[in-house]
Amino acid sequence: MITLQNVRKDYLVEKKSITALKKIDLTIERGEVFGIIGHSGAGKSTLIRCINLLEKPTMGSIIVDGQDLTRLSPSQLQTARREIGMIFQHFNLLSSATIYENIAFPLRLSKRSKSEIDKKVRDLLELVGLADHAKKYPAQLSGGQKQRVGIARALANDPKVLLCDEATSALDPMTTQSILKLLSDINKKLGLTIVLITHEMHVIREICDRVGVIDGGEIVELGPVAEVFLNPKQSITQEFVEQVSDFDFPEELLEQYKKMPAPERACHQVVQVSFLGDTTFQPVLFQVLQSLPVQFNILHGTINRIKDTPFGRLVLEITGEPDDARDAVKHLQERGLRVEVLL
Amino acid sequence: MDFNDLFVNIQWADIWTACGETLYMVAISTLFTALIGLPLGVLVVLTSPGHLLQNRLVYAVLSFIINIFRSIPFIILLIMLIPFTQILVGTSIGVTAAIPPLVIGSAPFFARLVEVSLREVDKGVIEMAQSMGATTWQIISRVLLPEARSGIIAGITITLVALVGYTAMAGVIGGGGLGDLAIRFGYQRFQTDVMIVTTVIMIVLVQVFQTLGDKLVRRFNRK
Repeated sequence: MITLQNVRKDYLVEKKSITALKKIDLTIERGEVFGIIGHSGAGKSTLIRCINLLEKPTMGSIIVDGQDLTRLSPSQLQTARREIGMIFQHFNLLSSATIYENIAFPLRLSKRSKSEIDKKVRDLLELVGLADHAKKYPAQLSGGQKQRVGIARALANDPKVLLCDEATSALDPMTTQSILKLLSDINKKLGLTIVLITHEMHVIREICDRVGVIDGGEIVELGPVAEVFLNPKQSITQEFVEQVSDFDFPEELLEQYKKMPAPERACHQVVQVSFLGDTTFQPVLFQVLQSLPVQFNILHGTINRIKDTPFGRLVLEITGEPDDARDAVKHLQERGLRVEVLL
Repeated sequence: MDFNDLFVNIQWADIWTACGETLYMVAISTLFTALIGLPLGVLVVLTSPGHLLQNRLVYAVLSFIINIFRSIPFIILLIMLIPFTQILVGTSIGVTAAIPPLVIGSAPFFARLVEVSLREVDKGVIEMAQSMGATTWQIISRVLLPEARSGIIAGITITLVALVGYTAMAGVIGGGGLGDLAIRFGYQRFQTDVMIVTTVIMIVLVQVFQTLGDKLVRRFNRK
């Protein structure tokens, strides 16, 4: 749906050239929710603004739905942009226009008929749950309601792509949840491709299918969200994953095992087991217990969700003969669990 | 003492005529000031660095012209423009002859006020319009002007009030009006009563204009 090829962006700041994007190659599939996460200044804002050419890349091409935007004339670009909706951190609503008129704005730009506009606006007000607020002005709404107006407005022209520029960063946690849910619903209902940028990992965990981590103007890590979560490779990715991790394993627990005399130590193994998806709810541990003469002692654990996928992490103490313990680990791995031996 | 003794020199008919002349000059020149100053202000903002129609040369030239006219004292401008007025309206004296210099004196001033209120418009909103495929003209007519509406109305009010003051000098070219009456009778002939009456009327005019303007600003301000 969206392909960025060899995209580079340099800015001229006080006659010095600053590189915001070094070399971005990225493909975003039709219908997916793609998240880009990075610290401020990493280039994520520039990246999303390159997709609808609010920022013109210095080099490279931006292909949206088969069309290279960098090769279009200004008027062709205006038409192409109507297929790409965008929502903003600070909503960017017209303060002088009612909610109704704000949503009608893109439709008026493309000169639709009055009755067509009215029908579309009413439908959208319904979709975002603001039907009672049509005649109000933005100043009379809360932040979450303003973003709903922004979303309705972005959907007015039935775009194929929705770009979200830090759409929830100015909202409180509860409102953020409701906006993310709305976006997720829209993605499912309309099959819309969503690209979002954020500095908050929980946003990624909540609704994204895939995530790209951007640092210093480069995508340093890319993959399905669950994979990146469970196995972050770059240290910056680990940092982001830490943000939302409620898995605080107390390292002192390991101390008591280290103090054990060698023969006894050999019969105690401590492992961390990660479950993802269906295995989370299968009686995997029980099955292993039945087939091997070992005991499990759960030291620590959490169960959580990544988008719609449940995942869990447990720290287990396996007590038994070293060979049996090794077999137990093998069994767990065979059942699709990720097992990491801690001690 | 009889009420009329206080105002021995007042010729009410003259006062009302002068009042009409002032209103006529202010109304027509405000209209033309808005017609010239508004596009001028919009153009200055759009051609300024980092804006939609960024153009160093046009911006520098416009800004320079505006500054020139803003730095000439109105009384001098009135005289300097006599030949131009002659060509434009066919006469260089009278109420109508006062209008071209009034407009040329206040349009650059109003253009700066328009510029200030347009710069107040959130950059993000302009960007939003661009992202939705708006043309430059659509951004001006559907975003910039509506969003700056209350600021522009406030600017018109300020200009209107300034014009009431400027018309006082129109007497130099036989422009008439309340200010002219105040100078010729009140000041030059020491008729204090004329001075007081004309001044009071002008104060009332300014108050009325300002109150109406403020009302409109409040009505259109949605922030």
